[in-house]
Amino acid sequence: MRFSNTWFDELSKLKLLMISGKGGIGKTLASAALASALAKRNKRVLLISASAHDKVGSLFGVEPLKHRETRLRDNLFGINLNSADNFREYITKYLGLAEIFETVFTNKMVQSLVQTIPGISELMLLGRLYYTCELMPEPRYDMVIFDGFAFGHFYSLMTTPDAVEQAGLVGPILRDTKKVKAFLRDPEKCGTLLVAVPEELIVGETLEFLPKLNNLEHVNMRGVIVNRYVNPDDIKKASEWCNTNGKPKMNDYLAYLFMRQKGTLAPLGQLLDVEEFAQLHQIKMIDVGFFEGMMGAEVAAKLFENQTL
Amino acid sequence: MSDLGLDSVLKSKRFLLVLGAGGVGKTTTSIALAIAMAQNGKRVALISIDPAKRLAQALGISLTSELRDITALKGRLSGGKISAAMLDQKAVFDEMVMRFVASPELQRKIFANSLYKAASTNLGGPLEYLALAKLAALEDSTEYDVIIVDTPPDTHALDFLNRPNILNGFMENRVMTWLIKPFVLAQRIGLGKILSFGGRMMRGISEVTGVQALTAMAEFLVLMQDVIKGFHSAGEKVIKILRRAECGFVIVASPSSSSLFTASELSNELASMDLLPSLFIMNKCVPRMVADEVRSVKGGALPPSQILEGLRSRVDAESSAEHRIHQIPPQTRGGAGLLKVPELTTDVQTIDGLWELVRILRSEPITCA
Repeated sequence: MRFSNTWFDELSKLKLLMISGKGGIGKTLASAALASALAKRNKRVLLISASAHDKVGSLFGVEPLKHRETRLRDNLFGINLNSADNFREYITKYLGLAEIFETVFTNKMVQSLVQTIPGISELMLLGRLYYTCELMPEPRYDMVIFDGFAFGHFYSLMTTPDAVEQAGLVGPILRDTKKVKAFLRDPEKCGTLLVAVPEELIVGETLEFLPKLNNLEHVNMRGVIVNRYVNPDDIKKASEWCNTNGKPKMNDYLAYLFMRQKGTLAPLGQLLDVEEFAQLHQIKMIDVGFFEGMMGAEVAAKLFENQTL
Repeated sequence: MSDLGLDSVLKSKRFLLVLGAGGVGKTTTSIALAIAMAQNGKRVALISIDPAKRLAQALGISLTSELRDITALKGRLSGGKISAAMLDQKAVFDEMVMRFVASPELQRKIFANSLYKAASTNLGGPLEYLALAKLAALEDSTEYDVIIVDTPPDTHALDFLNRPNILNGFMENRVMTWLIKPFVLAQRIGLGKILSFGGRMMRGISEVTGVQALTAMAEFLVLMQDVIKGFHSAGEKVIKILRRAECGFVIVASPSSSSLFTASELSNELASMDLLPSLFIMNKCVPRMVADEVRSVKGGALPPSQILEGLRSRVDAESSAEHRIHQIPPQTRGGAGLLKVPELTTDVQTIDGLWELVRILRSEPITCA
């Protein structure tokens, strides 16, 4: 299925696009490619990650990103958030309680307490996404792409606001959590895309998580990006070449990859045909082996071959 | 050391921690290792916190914190057996409360506490503690010869290793009492009257979280004291287990550069705790005969086909991945060798696929630099 220009237009009207998927299947690559494609369309884009080991920097040929906005290309910026800084900024900048932070929260004991309270870093991260999209001093970014966590962690990230509400907290944290939730829930503003690859385990887990995430009131599913997709025409060409050049094992392997792709994508297609998910789109990202080049709009266009960006 | 195989590496191990980045096949590998050891007559307990649902279903493993025999494999394990637990957060949390809290009335209160409910059902994180506590609880078990722990993916795996120290640093009872006291006082006499430093700190927290949150937190911490104490002693126990010679660390990777990065980070982490990996496993390699054919094609001879270019880049990436693992310096690597696992052409989420994986793991050579 090709995704239509109008669909991508719709997608690019969002303020926040969150990316999730099972670990190790190209979430960062997909996020970077989307961000590049959007920046090419004259959007001012911020690519946010929250990773102990930044992978975005190397995709753009710069140092690993830290908790500071860094220019990646024209119109495209990146930042790698860390939870201690999110927490500090929430209290000092947003709540304006710098003094309390200095005397209280820099205390080692409190820091370990904060680290141990489950959910606090997730909450601060969501808050930071909201702040960046809605509250930051102008000029704000046109769009924020969040290179999100793997399924399990992403799910608990997205259920954190509910947990805070259920825990019966009051005060600024609860007040702000409600705001964050309302923002996430707004389908005009926020959307989520899942990344998958045509392998049994990955598609299986995607099929399992997609309805689970979709059931959360403040998650707006927009589609699935199929990474490592092999174009049938390309397989045919490659197979002919293997035959004429005496490479039977390579040929068998290509046939296996293609069969596997067909077998795994069928159930995904079926799920997306169900009325409940019919508005979701499938985007195909071409298999380029291990991506070690530099991400730019041209590369993004190559990855999303046959699909108008 | 060409005759070195999986069996000889695992022979002396009673505890096995399987580590690695997300998406490299850690859970599947853990199950395959469990089968390999059971085939040698061992009774294996497998603790997983990252349930691969379909495989679990194929094997008849249910999401439970209790170890249950995998009956689907009975009769195929030559005398050994495997019991598996796929940890469910809420269930394990509840189990810990029941184990560490003696009074049934207190247990009931904890289960009814809103913070407890929120934390035990919704939030990530504590699962790592729980896997460790489970490991500690099984330490002296005479029912199992081998205990395998499949650790959480991605950066959380690093946390997992550090967790015992966090437990030790934070969960000291003295600290707890000191932190809890102002909460308790606040409940009784009102916040304004607390002038101690602890009180000032609590006021800071309360300005951010709300005063009622403070009270709820106090109640929660007081209630949870025994559980926290229990975790604390479990944490100390785990550190001792990790240091034993019969505890092995298997680092799983794929040829992707990010999973390799995690693998070398993990061996650094281990080294910083004076521990060494026992084995590196690299999953998802291109089958050897395919890779040989790809290598035999001269540069520039490939037609402009993305899949063929992709295949070549995959084979190249694999060679450099192998090289990178062999280049991990001996002080962080110990004598750990590398076992390469070709991508399976049967679905690894089925029993047949799993069997094929076990066969490969046991027959492939382990190479050392």
